[in-house]
Amino acid sequence: MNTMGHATTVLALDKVSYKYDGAKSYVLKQVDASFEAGKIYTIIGKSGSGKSTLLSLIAGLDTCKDGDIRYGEKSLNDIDRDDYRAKSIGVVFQSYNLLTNTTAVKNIVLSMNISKSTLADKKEHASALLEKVGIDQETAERQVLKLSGGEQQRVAIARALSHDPNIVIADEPTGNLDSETEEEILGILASLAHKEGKCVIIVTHSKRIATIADVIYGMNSGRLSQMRIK
Amino acid sequence: MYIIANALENLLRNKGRNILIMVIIFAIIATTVVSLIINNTASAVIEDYRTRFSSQVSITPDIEKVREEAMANASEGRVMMKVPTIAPELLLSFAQSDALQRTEASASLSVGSESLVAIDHSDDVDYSPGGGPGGMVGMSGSSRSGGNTSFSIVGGGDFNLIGGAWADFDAGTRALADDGASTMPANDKECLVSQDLADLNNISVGDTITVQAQMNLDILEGTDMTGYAAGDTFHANGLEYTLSAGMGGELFASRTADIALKVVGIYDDLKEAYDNENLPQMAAFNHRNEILTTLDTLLAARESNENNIALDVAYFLKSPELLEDFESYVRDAGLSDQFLVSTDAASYDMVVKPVLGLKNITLTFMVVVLVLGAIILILLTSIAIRERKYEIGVLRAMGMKKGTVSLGLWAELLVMTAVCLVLGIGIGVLAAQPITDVLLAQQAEAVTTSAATMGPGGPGGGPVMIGAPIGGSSIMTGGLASTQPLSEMSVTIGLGTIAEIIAIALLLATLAGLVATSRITKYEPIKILMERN
Repeated sequence: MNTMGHATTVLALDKVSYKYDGAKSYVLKQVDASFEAGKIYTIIGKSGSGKSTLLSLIAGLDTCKDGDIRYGEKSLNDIDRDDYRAKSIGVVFQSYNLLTNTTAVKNIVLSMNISKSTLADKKEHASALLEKVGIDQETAERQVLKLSGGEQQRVAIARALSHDPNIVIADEPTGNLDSETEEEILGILASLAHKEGKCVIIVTHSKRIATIADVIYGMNSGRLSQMRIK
Repeated sequence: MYIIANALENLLRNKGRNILIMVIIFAIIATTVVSLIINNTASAVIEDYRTRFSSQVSITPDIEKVREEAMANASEGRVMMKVPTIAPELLLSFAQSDALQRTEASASLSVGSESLVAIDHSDDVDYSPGGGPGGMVGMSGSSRSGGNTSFSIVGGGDFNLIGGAWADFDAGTRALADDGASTMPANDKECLVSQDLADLNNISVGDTITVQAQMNLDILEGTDMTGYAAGDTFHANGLEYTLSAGMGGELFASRTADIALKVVGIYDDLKEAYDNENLPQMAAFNHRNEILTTLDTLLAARESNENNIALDVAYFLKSPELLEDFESYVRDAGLSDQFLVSTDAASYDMVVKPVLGLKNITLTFMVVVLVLGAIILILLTSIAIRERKYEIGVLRAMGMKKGTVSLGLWAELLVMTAVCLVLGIGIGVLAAQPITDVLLAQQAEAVTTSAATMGPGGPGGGPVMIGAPIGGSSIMTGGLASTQPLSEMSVTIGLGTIAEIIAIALLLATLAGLVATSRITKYEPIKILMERN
């Protein structure tokens, strides 16, 4: 990991540009940024500004056309991105992207299996994670389809943490939640960064989330600018 | 390992879709099982018949050549066709050919006895001396006013002395008596008698019995018989023969030979006394009157040019392709060109044709089912993969590699295939026999109808086994039991068939798996999730 002062840079974006296949204009233009462990970052901006695209690139779900994204010392282009997604990064999708025809706990166990977790009792660990995000035992054994939006959001967070990643990315993690649940989720994310030393990157419209961030980036027409550092 | 567990869970989660796929796989496998069972059994039957029919050599007179020669030698408008003969020594010498896998030779001689009483002996039967060309033991009957029938068996007797025929013992239809004394003849001039004959004549193991054979001499062409008449004696081979006159006034020479045999065993006969109920119930046809000895014992009783002994020699080639080698050998050994050397292709065709038809039907059916089944399975799998696109996207987003996703889907297909294999093999085995019976009956009927339409000249005519006389007596070389189309076939499933079915099923599952893999390879998780969202 790069070190900048006392902080550890886990992820760095170096002049990252991106445009969709067949498109003339770039969605992301020369984006520079660095993300450190133990901090919460929020990326705010209007719809269509390129926030989610940036998140996809950081998550290793897509590749940038120009520039480079480095995880620690290595470029994402040089590492196995499947392994990167399975072990190094946890993503909380806006629409959760859970396997809906199985239980919450099995979603998490499957994520652990994919990351080749060596834990002896994966189910117990999955239950503990779910409990940590406020999902009780009974709810954990229910089919995901039968869970509320808030519960699914919590399961998605638990799944993102299941393989103990260095980076947690969340796309509008509270977009579908009531204010009480939003508070709980934000509490969990803050705890992940400040207590467990994870790098938490949140893409959001919510000003409430921005208040808990250590660093706020603004995204405007594909350009990223640092707006505030706590 | 979690891939398998996940595959099993997925199977239960998506019951409707998987049941549909399983129905298709089951239909393919069950049909393939039936087809393969029938096809493989038919192949085995065909190969068996091919080996038996086309490996068993027939040496038969070439009627065309015999007729041509008779026509060429016609005198005063009379055409005398003489059936060509082969000396038994020559016939037996053919067994030395390297082309042969084995030779089965046996001989029989009708004999009488002054000291033994035959089972079903009748004084109405006249065993008068004499014998013409080809003088097999013959029978003639004439109706009496009282409705009784009297028989005359020319040059024969109540008993049949049989040499070298032990097939019934191998088949279990005859067995040595469990008396602790009976043994199989190991030396010449030893014999076995039936339990019934032994009981009737108080014969015990160790006794010596004597039978009389009337040995008829072929008077060689060119022999000066001037001055000889019926009742005169004639000398040949250093022996004295008595002359008798045939119906055309021609002279025949015969002598009576005593053959002494030591009884070394008594056999129990499990087969019927008579071959069929249409035969006259008389001693000469009763199997219980058969005295069994070695082939050499029987042949030793014969002097040169004597013709009573009926020799049955069956030659079996190592492979049907060696027929030419065998023919070359027997021609070099002295077989006249008045004989044909052939395998029985016509009988083979007649018997095997329905099975061949059945095999072709099932093979065609199987290919059609496999091709159509594979297409349907591939389509279903493609649809299933499309339906599961989101699931695949999520798994890929979680970091599961494309290969692992494919492996999981293939594992699901394999599990479904394994279940269908068990069901398909079970149902297929149950269905194979009735389906075989129906299809084979139709094929046999078609062949029989076709043969009847074509007449005896067509394939349905089958071969005519013509006894080629040795010195006038009968030789059956390569006689075949039946030329009826095969109308029954007992199908069984062998390990080979099971292996083939498993291989085909795995191939299908893999084919469907490959289709799944090719689709998954095209899917990028981000695109799937973006489409979904």
